[in-house]
Amino acid sequence: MRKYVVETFLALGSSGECTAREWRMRWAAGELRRRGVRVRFDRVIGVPEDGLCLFVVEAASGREATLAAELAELDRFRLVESVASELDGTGG
Amino acid sequence: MCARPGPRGERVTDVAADERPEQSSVVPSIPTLGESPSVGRVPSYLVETYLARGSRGERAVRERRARSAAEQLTREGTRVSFAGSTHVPEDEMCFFTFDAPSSRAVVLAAERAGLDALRVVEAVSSGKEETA
Repeated sequence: MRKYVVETFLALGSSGECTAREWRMRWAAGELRRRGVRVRFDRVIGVPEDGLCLFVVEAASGREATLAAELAELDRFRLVESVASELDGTGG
Repeated sequence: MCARPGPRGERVTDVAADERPEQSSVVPSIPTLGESPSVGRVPSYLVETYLARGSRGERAVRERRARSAAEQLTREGTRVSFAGSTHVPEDEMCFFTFDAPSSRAVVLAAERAGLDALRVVEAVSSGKEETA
């Protein structure tokens, strides 16, 4: 599995939106996995100062990562491949 | 296909193996806000650094130094923990995330680790998805 960063932008004053998107991304990754798509939510990093909400996802390819972002209804996002450290957590 | 309750009690339909993955006409409804999003719970700081796209091995080296610096500061009484790094080769940027009581502590950790920080900015982060 590769890691991808899904970069999304927040409107000013929408601090709760990153939380809502995180929830949707977690849900979308789980939903896709149940359908046999190899994708997994890894972490989120919100940078309020920049209006950024970055999601790191593990996926077989960029296509699967894009599917997750689309299912989570992230309107505008940028997908870039990344190399990220392994976090402690339950495998899945 | 089979229906089952989603995380918020909504109806979610699974797609049979022979229909998956992308050709499904079933579009499950996205649940509304769940009970445990983690953004907003864990204050963190993001250290932005430059890292050339061909320097993947260097990320691991810097990560070890970042972890070591955080541990050293913690031993000295400033509780800093290293939470991970993400290199985006396309942008030649590498982000290091720390949990710490202040940005000053993170600046110190970054200096000790020799991260050559471009910027330290407050962030909120969360950890890995837990799956059964």
